[in-house]
Amino acid sequence: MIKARTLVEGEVEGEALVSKVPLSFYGDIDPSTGVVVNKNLPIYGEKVAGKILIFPYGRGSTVGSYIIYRLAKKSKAPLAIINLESEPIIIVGCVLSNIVLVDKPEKNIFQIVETGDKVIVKAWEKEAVIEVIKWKKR
Amino acid sequence: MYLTEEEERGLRGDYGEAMRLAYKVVVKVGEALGAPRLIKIVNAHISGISYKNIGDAGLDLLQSLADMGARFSVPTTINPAAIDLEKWVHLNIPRVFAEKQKKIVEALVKMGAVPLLSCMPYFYSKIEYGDQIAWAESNAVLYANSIIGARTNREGGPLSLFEAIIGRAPYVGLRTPEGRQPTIRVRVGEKAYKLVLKEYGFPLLGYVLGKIVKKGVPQTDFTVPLDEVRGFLAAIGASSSLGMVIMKDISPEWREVEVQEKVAIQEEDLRETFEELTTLKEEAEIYYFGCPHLTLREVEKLLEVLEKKPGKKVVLSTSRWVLKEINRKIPENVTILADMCLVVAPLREMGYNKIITDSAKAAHYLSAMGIEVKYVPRNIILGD
Repeated sequence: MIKARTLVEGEVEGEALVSKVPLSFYGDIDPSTGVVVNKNLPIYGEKVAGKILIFPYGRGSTVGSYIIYRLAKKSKAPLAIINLESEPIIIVGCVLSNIVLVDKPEKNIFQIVETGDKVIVKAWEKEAVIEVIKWKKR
Repeated sequence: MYLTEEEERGLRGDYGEAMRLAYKVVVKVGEALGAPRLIKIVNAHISGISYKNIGDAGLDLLQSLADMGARFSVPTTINPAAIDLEKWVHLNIPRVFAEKQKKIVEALVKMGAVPLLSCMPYFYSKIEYGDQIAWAESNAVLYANSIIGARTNREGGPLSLFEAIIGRAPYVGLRTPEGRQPTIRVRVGEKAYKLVLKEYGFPLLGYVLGKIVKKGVPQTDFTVPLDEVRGFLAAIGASSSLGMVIMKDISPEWREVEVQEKVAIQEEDLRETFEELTTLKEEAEIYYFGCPHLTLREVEKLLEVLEKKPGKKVVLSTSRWVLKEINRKIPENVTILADMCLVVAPLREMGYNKIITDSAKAAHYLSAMGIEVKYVPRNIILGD
């Protein structure tokens, strides 16, 4: 269990998609399909839809907020976003789209969670709780 | 975060759904940034107007907000669009694209924006020293903080939109006296300064300063000629996330103070960056002036020189209000665009792929778009 700070409330459960490098929703992610299109990213080719998307912080153009909103309208947005520290691009996008957002996890989340793990985010109070269920390696 | 009774009511939805959403966005951002409270603003300037940048995602949101009944609570202007609203048909811009761009502007006007479509709101809005404002265009933010002494952070397009709706912004960063203290002192080596004057121009110096300093509030030990200030600041905005530079002999907040951290810009910094900014290998198709938008005096000066250079194909960009005041014959080789700027325009469709510009900011963004570009200072372009 990892404690974190709630920015947008809610409770969701889903599969983790982890990028250790910052993301720009404008440019890195196709706004109509939710596929990661930046070849330089470790999660290139993955779909963000329905995932618990974990990355350090947002970068690049503030248009990213609109892209998050657009993805949500087309049901291609992540279920939740976990950041080390959220900045306005991601916060604005998640508030507009009602996507669960938490940041400042108490433990090093990149050492604990890998892409494909099951993650539950409970963000009702000021302090959110992240639960991680590891799958056995096949 | 502390909220007044009125702000609480807004957040609860007592003033309607659009107001509730706008409060929620601004309060959440404020909390994340550690702001203790909100502060009232007297003016807003929204960026992210170009359909090329915000696309259907942005159009969608702006239309739903306008339909929800969102209205700006303070005088609000908007940044350049992707097209010249009157001349676009002659610019090879696809009709569907132009229609969507017009809808973006319509939605913003419905919410109460002045369709300024220019990046120089500091020459339009009456902003004074100490005013709290919410501006999103980086060159305007730098001008407001550094030259006028007004107070704004680099809000970003979407955030400034919601701040304009509630008429408030998080009280944090450059809005506070502590956030406006110099954090680093910047000097330019003697030889380097001579090179700036002779070869590289002040936009390149600004670009280098932004690249080196990156964050905080730099205070300069060197002077920038008044005519060069906007190009200098715009370039800083492109290469950094700085929102204020305390400039010697210019900024109202310049003081003789001790600053621990110091940095000096040298010849090699200029040379390296000059090379980096150049991706153009062949002849340019056009020469571009107007990033930031040209003032009336600049346009008239340029026209006077360009008349005598009929061989050069030149594009100028400025605001509609300046365009209306031009009192000179426009030579055939010169196109003047209003409402827009090339940095946010559909350049491929327009057929502009190889550009020489006097703006380090434009060079930065155009080259990021894959346009072949070269930065050359204005006096050198006009002199050769």
